[in-house]
Amino acid sequence: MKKIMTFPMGGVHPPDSKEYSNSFSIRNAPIPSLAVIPMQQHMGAPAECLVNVGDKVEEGMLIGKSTGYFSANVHSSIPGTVKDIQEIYLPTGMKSKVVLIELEGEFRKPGSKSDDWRSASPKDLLDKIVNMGIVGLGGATFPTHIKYNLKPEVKLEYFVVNGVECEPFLTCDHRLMLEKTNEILEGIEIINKIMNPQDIYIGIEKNKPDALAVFEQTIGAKGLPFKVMPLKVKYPQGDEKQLLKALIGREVPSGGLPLDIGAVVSNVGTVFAIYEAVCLNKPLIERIVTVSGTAVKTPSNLKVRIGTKIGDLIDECNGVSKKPGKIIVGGPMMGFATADLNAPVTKGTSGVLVLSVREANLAGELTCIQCGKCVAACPLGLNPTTLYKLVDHGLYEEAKAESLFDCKECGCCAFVCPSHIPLVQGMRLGKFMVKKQKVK
Amino acid sequence: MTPDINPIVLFFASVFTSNILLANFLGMCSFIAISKDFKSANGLGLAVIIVLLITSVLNWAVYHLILVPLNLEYLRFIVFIIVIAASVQILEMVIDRISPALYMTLGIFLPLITVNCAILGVVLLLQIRNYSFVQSAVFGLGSGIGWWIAIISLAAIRKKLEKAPIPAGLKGPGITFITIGLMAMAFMGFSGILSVQ
Amino acid sequence: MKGSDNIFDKLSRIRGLKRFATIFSTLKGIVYGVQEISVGAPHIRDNIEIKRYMSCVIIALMPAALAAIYFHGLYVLAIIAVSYVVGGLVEVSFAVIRKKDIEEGFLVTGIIFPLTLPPATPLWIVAVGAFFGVLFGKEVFGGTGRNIFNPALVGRLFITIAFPGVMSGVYKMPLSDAITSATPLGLFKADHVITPVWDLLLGMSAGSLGEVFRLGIIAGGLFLMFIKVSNFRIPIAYLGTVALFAFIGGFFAPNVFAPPLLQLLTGGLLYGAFFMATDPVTSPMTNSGKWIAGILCGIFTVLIRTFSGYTEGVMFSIILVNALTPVLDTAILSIKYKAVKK
Repeated sequence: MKKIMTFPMGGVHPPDSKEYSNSFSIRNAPIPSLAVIPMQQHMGAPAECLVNVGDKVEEGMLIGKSTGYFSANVHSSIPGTVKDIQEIYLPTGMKSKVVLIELEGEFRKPGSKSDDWRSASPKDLLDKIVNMGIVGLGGATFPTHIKYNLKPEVKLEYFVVNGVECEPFLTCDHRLMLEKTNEILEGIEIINKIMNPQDIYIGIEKNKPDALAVFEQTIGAKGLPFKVMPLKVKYPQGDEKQLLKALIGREVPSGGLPLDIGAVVSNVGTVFAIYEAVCLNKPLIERIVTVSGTAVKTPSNLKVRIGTKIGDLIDECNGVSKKPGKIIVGGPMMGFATADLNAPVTKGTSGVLVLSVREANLAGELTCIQCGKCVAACPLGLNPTTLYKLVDHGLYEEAKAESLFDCKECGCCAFVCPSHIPLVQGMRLGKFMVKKQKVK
Repeated sequence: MTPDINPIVLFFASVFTSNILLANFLGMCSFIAISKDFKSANGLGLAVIIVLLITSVLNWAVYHLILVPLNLEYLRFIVFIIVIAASVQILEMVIDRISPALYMTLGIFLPLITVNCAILGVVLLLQIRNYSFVQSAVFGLGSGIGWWIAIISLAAIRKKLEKAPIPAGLKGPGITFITIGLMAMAFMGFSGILSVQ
Repeated sequence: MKGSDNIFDKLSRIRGLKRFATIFSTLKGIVYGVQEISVGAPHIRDNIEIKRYMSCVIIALMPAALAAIYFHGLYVLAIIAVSYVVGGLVEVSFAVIRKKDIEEGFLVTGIIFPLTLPPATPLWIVAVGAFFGVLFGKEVFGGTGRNIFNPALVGRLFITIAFPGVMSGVYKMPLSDAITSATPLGLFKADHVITPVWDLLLGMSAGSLGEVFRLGIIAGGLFLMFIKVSNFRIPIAYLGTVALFAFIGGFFAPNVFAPPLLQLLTGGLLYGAFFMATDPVTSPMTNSGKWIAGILCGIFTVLIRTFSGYTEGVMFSIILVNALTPVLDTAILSIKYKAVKK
């Protein structure tokens, strides 16, 4: 029995609510008749739109070209005609140019799997990742090629596959690990070829014993040098900082990247996308989305084309069973509430949750009683209540001195706060104001 | 007669039960003036500990080895103050040399320790109570630590109160006086304990 | 309850009553409940919430309060009522002046404070204590959540110091009208009398209203710890330190220190440790700070009980530790963060 690891400081245990959807296999969502494809689906600069209204596009055609290094390509998820190009607000609050594509024409036949990559050079594989628009599918949508493009003098010690999925309700990674085990392992081999790390860890939380077992078994059968690491269930273990602290016991320095401590982390979904990109020559035009929540009639894990409306996904799950109180894009801890059923699924959408009125109704903000629950819960050892008060009083620079920018907005503090103080929003405001003052 | 008090008990008494600030109310001015900022409060508190320890020992020696044999006890006020001033001057130079940052934070208040009533008060108490050399050193150190604890706790409280919606008229000195009053009220609980006379 | 046209909203729009809008909105909250939808992440929350928090504390105090009424008759109800009315008036008038919402905090203070009083306390002293405690213990510091010292204890401490004559002669034995000043701790200090354990547990001893029925207090305190409303660290550290210190003291000077069991089961120790030292507002935020605060409380309590002119040291020590709480937090957080940053 392996030692079950976790990160030492802070963290919370929200009810994981995965039982709603974790027993349903991934099925295909309907192809959207109109795909809404944002140019800004990743962290960094938005892609440059390559099509005009009236253009015919094919499935998987490049329609947004990455602008510079810190950006990513965007592809059309369906064949059809460009109907319109607009600017809309995404559920994340970002404004983005979107391409509306009306379904028309033929789908590509799925290509046969090629094993060419075993003879390809790491440089070619990395180019493939750039071309296919792969970004981190865990939620942060950090362009993957930046992470993997190591300087020649850097020797990578650890590559960690993140199968933690610590957000409640979400089960898309869990199902992917069960159903696409071989593909994920091949994806890891590809990454191994690109970066050649000393050790490869696969971190999975204990609430997915079937995934742990299937990985152990398959890795054993194939004789691959990967280590499966069971982890205690604790939020926010899926954050790369916490995951690395748990697995290799090193701390990412303040303001640094995992690479600073010799590690790179990728989500299982990303690994699977890399497999598809390299072996099936398929750009990132589909992802697995968990549609769940207490008010959804049949919670499901769906394979969804990018650009599908979230309303269509809820319909596909037979609509709602109770009066819905709130629709969340992403997980319940870090996701975004939206009122727009036409909002599109993007590369970073891991879930669409519908909560009932009872759960969405939370008593309003009350006074801070200095109970210290947030201090105990913060996985980074910050003092959320003091930071919030500093921001509240407009003392942004002082908040910065108290390490405001180390905050990852994981929401642990606000989760435990008995006064329902919007701590996360306070932190965001503080960061925004500091940046704004700097621009001035 | 030297009173018969165990030095450990005396130390504890001088830190808590007969706290120089909150039970004897000595050294109030710098206590209120410097406690606005935690860092300078801490620095001043540490400076007071050192000065108190040095001056208690020096003044005990001066009094018992010079003034008493020469029958010059009536000069004690002047002599005590001169000894305090001299040791503070030397300390000031040392701090300036070792830690200019601390020197800058303390600013005018380091020389002002010279006239901090807590220092002279402690020195006079030593002489009035007729403490032995060891007792003097312990009492000086304990009183300094007591003063330091009191000022850093007040500084931390004031830091916390900075962001509180205190009624406008009570902001600043008003709420500080109320806080000190409540703290002193709590210290009354120690009344009667180990009353060091 | 989306429609805003209920009676309270209407009332608060009447011109002359606008000043008192806060009172109406509080009443509205009580009658209709709060219905707000949070828009920001995280979208799920832990199920502890301050209002529930406070109701749990009041429920946990019920055994002690009911026992007090049983032991000392309906006069106890008058004491509690005076405390609520005076404390509530101060709270409400400040809320009106500040134009802020009325906080529920005084509901807890208003019951904790009278239960610390001796059974025959004159009502005017109750009023003075409640007034001083809520005003100078809490409101001048900025209201609920901002106070440095426990308001109930500030009030209690004030009347102890201000009216020593009245406050020492108002203890009664339960179920009798005979005035006595001999609390179990006082008896030990004077004559080394050790009151039997069961008398102490069941409340058959002189003492303040809420502190005598100790089985009820223990039950209430454990209930609060069990549902995680109060933190277990402070009571354990506090009681443990008292027992240990008394044991060591008794080993060296058996006639000076009361024995550990007597220390634990007398005076306001259990009441203070379970209900007052754990007050989230005035206790340290950090877990290690909570341990230290509990230990300091324990040391101060035994010292004051044993050596000072007062027979009881719980309230003094809790207030003392309240004064040290901000500096404990500052120190611990800076140490903790330094460890993280390196």
